[in-house]
Amino acid sequence: MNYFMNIVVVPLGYADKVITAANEVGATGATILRARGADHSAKEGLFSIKIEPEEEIVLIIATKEVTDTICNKIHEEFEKNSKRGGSIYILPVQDLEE
Amino acid sequence: MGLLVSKLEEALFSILPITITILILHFTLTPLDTEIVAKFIFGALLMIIGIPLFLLGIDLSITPIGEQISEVLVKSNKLWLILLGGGFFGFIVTVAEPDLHILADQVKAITSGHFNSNLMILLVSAGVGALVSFGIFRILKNIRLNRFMTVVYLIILALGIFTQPDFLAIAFDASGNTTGAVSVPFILALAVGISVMTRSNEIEENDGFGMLGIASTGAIVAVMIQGLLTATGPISGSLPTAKIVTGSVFHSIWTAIAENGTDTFFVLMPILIIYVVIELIWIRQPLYKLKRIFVGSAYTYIGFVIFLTGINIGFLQASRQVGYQVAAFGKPWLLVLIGMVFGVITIPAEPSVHVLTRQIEDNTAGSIKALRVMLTLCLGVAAAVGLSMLRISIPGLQLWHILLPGMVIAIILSYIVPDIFVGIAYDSGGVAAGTMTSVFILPFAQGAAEFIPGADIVRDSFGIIALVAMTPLVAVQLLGLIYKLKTRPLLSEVSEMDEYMEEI
Amino acid sequence: MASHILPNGISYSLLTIIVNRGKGSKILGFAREIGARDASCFFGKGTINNNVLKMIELNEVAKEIILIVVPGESETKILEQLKEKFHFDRPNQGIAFTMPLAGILKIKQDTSIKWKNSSLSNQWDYTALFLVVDKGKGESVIQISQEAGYYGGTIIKARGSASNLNIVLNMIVEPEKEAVLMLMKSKSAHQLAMLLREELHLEQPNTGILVKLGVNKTIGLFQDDGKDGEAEQ
Repeated sequence: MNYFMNIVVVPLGYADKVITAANEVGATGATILRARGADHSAKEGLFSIKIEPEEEIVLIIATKEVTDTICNKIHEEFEKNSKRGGSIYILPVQDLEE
Repeated sequence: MGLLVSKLEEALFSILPITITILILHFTLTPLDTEIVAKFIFGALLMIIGIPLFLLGIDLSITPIGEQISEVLVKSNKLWLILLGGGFFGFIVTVAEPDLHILADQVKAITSGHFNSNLMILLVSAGVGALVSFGIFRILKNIRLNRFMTVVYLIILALGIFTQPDFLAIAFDASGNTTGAVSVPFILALAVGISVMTRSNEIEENDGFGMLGIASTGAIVAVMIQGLLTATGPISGSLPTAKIVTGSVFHSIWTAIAENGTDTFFVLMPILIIYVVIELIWIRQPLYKLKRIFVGSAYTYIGFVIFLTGINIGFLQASRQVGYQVAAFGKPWLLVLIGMVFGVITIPAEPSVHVLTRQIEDNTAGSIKALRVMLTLCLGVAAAVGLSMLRISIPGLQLWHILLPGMVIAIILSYIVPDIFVGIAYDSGGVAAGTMTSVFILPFAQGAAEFIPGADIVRDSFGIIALVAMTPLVAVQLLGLIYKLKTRPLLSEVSEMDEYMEEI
Repeated sequence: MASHILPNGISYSLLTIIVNRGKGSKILGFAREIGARDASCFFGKGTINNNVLKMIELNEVAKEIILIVVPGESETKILEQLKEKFHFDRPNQGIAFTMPLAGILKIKQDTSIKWKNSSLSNQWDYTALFLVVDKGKGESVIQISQEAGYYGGTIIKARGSASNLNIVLNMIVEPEKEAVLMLMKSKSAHQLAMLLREELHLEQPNTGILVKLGVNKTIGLFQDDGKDGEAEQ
């Protein structure tokens, strides 16, 4: 069985939506990290300090079909309810022990 | 040995600003007695060793102890136990705080014995304990910090109307003294631990920040209440001479070590003993983790004793002499300027500031940087000391003229900026007024007040701590405002694929 | 819904960089410079392999881990730039490695995943082991690995998604976890994975997860006494 590790990067506070979407599809067992992203803020004169915004990274391991479904679900969830987006990177897993 | 180098860098960053400033002043504007300079330099050297050792120890022992105790409390699943436990620990760490004992003695002296110092210690500790309980309740019930603090400060305002102005200053001083170098990391770890475990994402969170600010208000309320219940005469102007250690350098060191050694022992022991008891009954960790805590406690103890010895030897007298001489120039603007410099250089030397800012950086994955918060604090405290010097120089200017508007601005800001900044702002207020403020900034003001006629040492110097505890509230929230304004335009995102295509 | 396929030849990799704490923001700046829009940084801690330091409890090192998405063909070029700028050719400056991505999705911009066209290789020189265990067990993972001869390994604080197993005061509480990341030669990875599975009883439910991820290129790894692994990660 080919598994994939989904790395879902979203702004702080949005991890819940990701988890909800994943749970609906039956993928439980996600892991969440706190992180910060690179500074993309507008370079105005406001003391031009760099702000690296807070993010959450949600890790979900799933098969290809489930991954497709989860990601579509996540996309739907965000389309409906949020102004901001995020990214999902999908790594192929060689081997899985659980 | 990369670790040692980085620790040394940190230590130099903390102590060099103060050392260089005093030396520059000594050689230019305010020549000091040679004996004092020698002791000062020796004290600075001690601090370079003491501070990093202490901070390392805190990381290894006090913070994990606080975290584990918060785990035990939360997992008990009993609300009353969590609240009672938190309150109990708030009481314990405060009742042993040496700074509080010193303040109580001072208050007793200036009220000609009317004010019961033992009662004050108990009341303040109880106040802190109670507010820690309320603070935990706030976290568990998701009550927003800005509303909570508005209510608390309204109560303080109400009590304040009936309080003698001098007592107002003393009350705020008590708040500065209660969050000491050991209680800060402990209460912080406790609050963060409870908050992280009971997180619910839907609501914007502070991650447990704000607890130190809440705990400080407990002290304020306690002193005010005691002030209302105690019939005191007018406050007399003579403070008991602060423990100035005279004699040869070696004699000074020995006395200081003995005294600080015992004080620190009684601060750490309660926490360790209670922890060991809890550990044996409930947690039962693997042995190597216990060993880490004990090694850490040793570092904490040794580091703190060295740190306290360092500051007690030379800092107080040096600062007082500088204050007196700067005031002697007769130019208020100079006093304000040097005062502001003192404000800036004191903050990096305060261990609690390092503890708090590091915890902030940890919790936000580095988004809110420790150095940035520290610099904000430096600016805030500079403003506080500058305003205090203004107060000393201008007879008509009273404490509440500055304090009240400041607090109003702070409370208004708390409804505008992101919640986490409200939390760290209130925490910074509690932390900025710490050991270094009492030993370095206060004597400067007292020295200045000695020279200026019409300046009351007690009244004017006691109010400094209040201002140092207040300005960070405004400064840090302004930082939060900048963060908020700068992260808004993030909504526009160009398609990443197209960008990559162009680069290839 | 059919997923899109990336045009032939286009591929992306996840560049992972581990440095000492304090350098993370500079690396994020580097990501910006090379035009990457997806870069994230988080904290971790590593251990120094030194018994004296261990005794006096000075053997923990604070780390930062940065993830950057880069185009597959720029991998080598970017790794070179990284090595030059941050001196990864010297020991203890940091390590970096790339893993090919199978797919990518920009939430709210792509309606579905863009999968990689070509099939992915199954033979890798290097493998990254990634585990998620309960809080407190991360050190056991490190200890087991060290006894097996592998020194290195970064522990990252994390939390698990809330489940009905954790209810406190009528609140669903998210359990605290630790993630462990280790990078080594594939053969060693295979052995270590089996050892960890045994010692940690991973086959039982809710004890933890271990995944093996294939690694394309690495820089900053140094051999330690001829054994596979790093002197310090």
